[in-house]
Amino acid sequence: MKTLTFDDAYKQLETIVTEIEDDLVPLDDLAMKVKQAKVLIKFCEEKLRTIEHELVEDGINNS
Amino acid sequence: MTRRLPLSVLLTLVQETIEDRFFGEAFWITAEITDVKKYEQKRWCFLKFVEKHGETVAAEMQAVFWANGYQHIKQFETLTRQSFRNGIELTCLVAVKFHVRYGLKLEVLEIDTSYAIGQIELQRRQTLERLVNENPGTIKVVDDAYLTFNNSGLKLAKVLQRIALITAAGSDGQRDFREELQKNNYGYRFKISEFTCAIQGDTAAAQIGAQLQLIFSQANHFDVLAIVRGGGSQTDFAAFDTYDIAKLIAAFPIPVFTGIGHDRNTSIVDLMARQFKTPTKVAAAIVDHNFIFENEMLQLKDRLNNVLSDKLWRMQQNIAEWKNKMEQEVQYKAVKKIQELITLKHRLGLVKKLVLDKHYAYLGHQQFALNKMAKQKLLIVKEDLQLTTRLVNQLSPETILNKGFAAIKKNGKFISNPDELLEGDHIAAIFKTTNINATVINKTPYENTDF
Repeated sequence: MKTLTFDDAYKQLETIVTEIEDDLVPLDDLAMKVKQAKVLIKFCEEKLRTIEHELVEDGINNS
Repeated sequence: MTRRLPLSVLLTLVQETIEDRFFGEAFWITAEITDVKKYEQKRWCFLKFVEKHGETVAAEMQAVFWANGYQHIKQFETLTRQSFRNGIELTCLVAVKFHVRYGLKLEVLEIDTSYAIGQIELQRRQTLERLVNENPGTIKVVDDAYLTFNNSGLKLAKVLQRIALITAAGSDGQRDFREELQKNNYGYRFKISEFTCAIQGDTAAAQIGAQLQLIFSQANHFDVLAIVRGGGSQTDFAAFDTYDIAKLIAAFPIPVFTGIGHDRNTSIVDLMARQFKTPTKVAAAIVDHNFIFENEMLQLKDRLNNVLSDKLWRMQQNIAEWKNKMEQEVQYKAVKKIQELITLKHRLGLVKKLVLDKHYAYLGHQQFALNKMAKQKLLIVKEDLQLTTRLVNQLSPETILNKGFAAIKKNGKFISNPDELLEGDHIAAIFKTTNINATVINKTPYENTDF
């Protein structure tokens, strides 16, 4: 399992937001994508303010 | 001629000879210095001047700075940002002095700092040229700027959180750097791994080099390497101008931020890395970098919220539109149906009228036929009646009596059946104008032979 970096998290977040903006996310998947985005934002905000906090790549996809 | 003299007399003689020859004279000499021994308190400095031809020492002489000349050492260090140390080449104004006890020495009266600066600059230029020439893969000059693998090839991570720090243990630079990071306004946290070593002095370059190798071997544990110094001597930056350190930094696998604490000049290491001048500024740059990331992320968050509320708004609009359309459609359909019904009703009315009219016409016709038929029947009946009346009249008793026939009565009742008459019965035979009473004498069958 690979630890999620800020760069990865940002990239994923940017992809999600762009996809939603470009109407590429089907309505059925929208809630899941938004949830993912919120998890990523929370992860980044928390990780900036802690040094132990880690979110593993697999964890975010299952959350 | 030989003379016996006490040493002191001899040396006094030497002293007098030298003074005679050199009294009031001073000379500019250029030579490398070695064996530097400073006595800060007394403001003395002993050293040796050496002139080399290749590796061979061609000349050497003891020298000294007394209190009057000592200020020039300080001045030299301030202006050149180099420590006054073994191995540097100096141009100095010297006087030849002989002391009966301490021997021959050159007393340094002044240092030509402009020469020293020129020398340093020359050496610096040579080092830079060598760096560029010998490391074409990692160092390039573009528009007077040094673009290295480290300062332009390496992308900074979005967040700089795991910091390798090269600094002198307990230095002001170390303290300033840590403080600036810790007091950041955003609550950001950092993991600082310190690699302390001498930052100045003769061993600085070697120690820094060793720490760089150590960090290199675990580079994936760090987002950035900060090299800071501050406090202590503001003079010795020589380690940061050495070829070896500069070469290592230029190719270093993690971004290097320098805060070596000198505003007026830039070391070669600064050119190979990202220069922020002071430890505080390095720390501030790291905090700012993370702040920019968080800002970018919050902008993404805003974009997400905006696109979601926009989507929600559009969905609501769509629903409202659909509702509106549906209502309109229903209304339109209802009106259309009503109109259809009205049309149907109207058509039905027309049909009904048509059918009724047809029926009425038929009925009229029937009535007419009926009337006609009735009239005809009536006429026939009337004719029959007249005929019958005539018959009746012809057959009436009066007509018969008028014709001379008689009617039989028994007990006041007309008898038409002879079986009702028995022999001996009293009967009346009635003619038109005469009544004859008679008794039945006998009854016999009658064969019509009279008429």
